[in-house]
Amino acid sequence: MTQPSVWFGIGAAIFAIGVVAFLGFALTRGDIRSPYYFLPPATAAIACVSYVVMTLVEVGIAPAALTVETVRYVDWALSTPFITYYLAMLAGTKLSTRAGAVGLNVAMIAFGYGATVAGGLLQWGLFAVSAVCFVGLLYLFLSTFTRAIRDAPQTSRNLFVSLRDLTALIWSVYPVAYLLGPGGFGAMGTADYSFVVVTLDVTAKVGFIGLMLARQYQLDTFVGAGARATPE
Amino acid sequence: MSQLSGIRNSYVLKFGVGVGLVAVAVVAAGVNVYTNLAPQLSPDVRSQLLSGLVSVFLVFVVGVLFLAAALGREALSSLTVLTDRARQIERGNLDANLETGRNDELGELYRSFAAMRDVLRGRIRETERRNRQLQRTASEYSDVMDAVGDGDLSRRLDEDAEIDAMADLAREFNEMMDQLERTVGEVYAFTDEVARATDTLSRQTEESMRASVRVHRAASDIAGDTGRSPEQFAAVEDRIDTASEIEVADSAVEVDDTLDAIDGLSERMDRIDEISEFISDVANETNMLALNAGIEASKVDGDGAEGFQIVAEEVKNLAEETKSSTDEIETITDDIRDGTNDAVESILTQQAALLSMMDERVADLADTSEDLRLSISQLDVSEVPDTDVSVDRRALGEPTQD
Repeated sequence: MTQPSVWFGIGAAIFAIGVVAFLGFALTRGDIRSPYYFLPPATAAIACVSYVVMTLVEVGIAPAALTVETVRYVDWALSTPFITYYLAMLAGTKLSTRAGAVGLNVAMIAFGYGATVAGGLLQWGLFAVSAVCFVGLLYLFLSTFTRAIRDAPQTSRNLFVSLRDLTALIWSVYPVAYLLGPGGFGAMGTADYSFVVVTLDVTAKVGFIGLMLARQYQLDTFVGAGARATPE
Repeated sequence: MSQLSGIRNSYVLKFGVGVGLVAVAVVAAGVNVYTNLAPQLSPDVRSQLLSGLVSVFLVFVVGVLFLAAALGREALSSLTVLTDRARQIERGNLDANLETGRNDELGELYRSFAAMRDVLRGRIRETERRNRQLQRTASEYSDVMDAVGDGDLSRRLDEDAEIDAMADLAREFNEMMDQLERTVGEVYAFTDEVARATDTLSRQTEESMRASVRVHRAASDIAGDTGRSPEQFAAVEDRIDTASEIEVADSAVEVDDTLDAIDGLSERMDRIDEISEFISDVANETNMLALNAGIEASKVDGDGAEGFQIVAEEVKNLAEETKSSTDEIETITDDIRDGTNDAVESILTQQAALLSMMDERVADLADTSEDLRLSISQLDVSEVPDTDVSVDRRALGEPTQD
């Protein structure tokens, strides 16, 4: 049976490829100083580093205090707010909305981590709170953000909707995987759960980057609009 | 937009139903594998099998969701964007953004739309430009036709119009105006000729009257001087009478001819009046049509241009008709000139004949008087009763004087 370390290593490699590919695009065709261009590779870079650390943890050459769960949740706590912020930025929402969304995102991860380390009723209570945070985040994605971008050009709206759908759909699988995994009902073993989570992470972050690379012509419309909206 | 969101919703629904059916099939396959193998396996291996099947299913779901987010909506939204742009173009926004960086079939479709839009825009701009040109030309033509209608026959339309139909119209109109102007000039010249001929006629008539008076005096003198030789007098009287009668009869015939010729002239003049009136009507009508053409041109879109062509064609026909009327005028004017020449010639001939006849008579009378004197002196005849010598003075056109 394949060890989780293999999945983590493959995940780290895919993230590294994603970072390099997007940086190459941003440097040659875009503007790396714009958050539209540096946020996606930053997110993937965080994931890449965390997967390298997870691989080290699995093969046993990391400090004993680090567990895969801890590294994973630290990764999520750092990288997913970037994704949320990026979507909020694409939608052109107010700063307060962006801050609220990022706060909700961090809270969701924090309560989720709490659920993994707690036991019994507390675990399910924290999971429920995390799930509520996720529902709130979904509401922001699907309603508030979408309303904010309503008047944008169709091509901009297009890219936002695709990225929004990708994030909302893939993120919805995480709690399901958690419930089916060893921390939940135990239908999946740790190795399979690790495999599923790697798949989810790669799809959510490298898929995000890949989508943007495929739609680079649409990203330009955001950068143009952003440059007009915020003169230097 | 509701239609677009309707299309999108139905697409999402179909996609969702398809994915759901596949997911059910995958779950069924997994359940089939698990229930077949589970009885033969130890609990540990059984749970590993379940774990593996669940993870495979989850990975399958993740893949499908990614495709749904990335490809399904993308392809569809590109189409909805294109539909939206096509609607914008339909509403007249020819600057709708059709740029795309895609290199696939959809990118090709965008570029085809953009090319079509560009061609359309070019055509529309060209048509608009031509319409403005048409309007400007029509209004210029209208001004010229107004001036011509007001009597300024020297004005001409600009034949350099960019639109062929207008240039044709201008050429036809100008040709018509050239002929009209020439004809009117000829009518004026002819009127002068008639005036001159009338002068000549009245001068000649005066002269012939004076000649008649001379004849009468001569006759009276003869009658007064010679109171004798009744036979001779009677003979003289007869000669004079006969001569006068012949002369008067001839003269009456010639005068009748002249009067006929002049009557004919006046009739033709009436005809010229009618024709002139017709030309004036035509000019007005041409004017109206040109104005209509201008109005048509102002609202030209594709079909309207055709409508204008028809109007322009009509104006052209009218101009041709007018031209043929002008030809007719020319013919009539020629006739009139010939008629006048005939009339004047006939009058002059008549006058000349009359005068020469008068001269002859006077010469004859002088001869006769001389003969008479000689006879009287030779015969030495005594007094003879006074004889009434009568000459038909009235027939000679001289007022009776006593």
